[in-house]
Amino acid sequence: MGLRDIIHKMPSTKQEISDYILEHYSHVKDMVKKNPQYKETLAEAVTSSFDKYSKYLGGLADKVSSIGHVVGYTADAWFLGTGDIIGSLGGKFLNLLAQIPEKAYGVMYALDTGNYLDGLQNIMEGAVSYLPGLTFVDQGLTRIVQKRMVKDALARFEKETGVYKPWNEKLKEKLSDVYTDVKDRSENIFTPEYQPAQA
Amino acid sequence: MIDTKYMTHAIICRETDNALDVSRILRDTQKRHLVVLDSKDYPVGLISTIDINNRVVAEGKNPEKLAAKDIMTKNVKIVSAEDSYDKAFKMMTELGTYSIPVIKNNKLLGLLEFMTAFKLKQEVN
Repeated sequence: MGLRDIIHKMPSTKQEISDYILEHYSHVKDMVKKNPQYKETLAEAVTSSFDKYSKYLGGLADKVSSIGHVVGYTADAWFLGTGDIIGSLGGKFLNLLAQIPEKAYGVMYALDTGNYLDGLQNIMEGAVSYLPGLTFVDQGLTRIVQKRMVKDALARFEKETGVYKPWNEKLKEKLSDVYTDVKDRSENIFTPEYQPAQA
Repeated sequence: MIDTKYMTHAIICRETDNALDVSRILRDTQKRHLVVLDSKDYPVGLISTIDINNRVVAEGKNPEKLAAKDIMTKNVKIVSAEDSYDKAFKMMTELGTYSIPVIKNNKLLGLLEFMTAFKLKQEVN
């Protein structure tokens, strides 16, 4: 668990993912309220996403990473409290060593899922976190995977219930409030016949 | 062979579209570049948001009177669907780009991204 989880906890079980979606996506909550059968559809979508991504949650790499974060926060607190950058760097070095397994797992996650941007983000945030005072920027692979599970489950639910909108239609709705004459540009999107590897 | 299932979509415009349309396509899709196609769907150029800035706005030209073909970067490097992931990867490395258009029968098929080519090149090898 990282510092961000204290402020905004991400779900890590099937029930927590369902609850998170119902809490944060009002259209899903309204649909379930109107038709309780959709609760089952949501549970199925969550199970599919959980099965796809859960192998990247928890495990030894995550536990080692948690220890690394604790060391990192301690080093940050030491630096901020005493101004002793040398002592802090010692803690940061231990933080670096402790997080190597999770970063290696981040590379495996990227290769397995094709989700290179999140994998790269995980590694870059980890690199920045070695600077004194910046442990908090390290999001951790688990948190990235949790976010991905929520997005994936939501997309599965929306597709199953027929309310799914492609990215260009969502963008049109979002940008229409800001700019004039916004279109969904579907005629300008040249799509090969493919299913993206990642959610 | 480059499989369509590993390609991503490409944002496109026609070479006869005017620069105002092109800028709005980029705005509405929130992308930074697009592929210019001729009437037979062959990729003839690329336009980036920087091109719009440098070749239209900064030159004080009227975007409604300029066509995409007037402001695009020509001689786009492309790969064929018959080519290998290794060839696509090497071309992107040499060009310093993150994606490359893929064609089949002289028509655009999609874009192949750098990391996808890297991953699949490893698997094939």
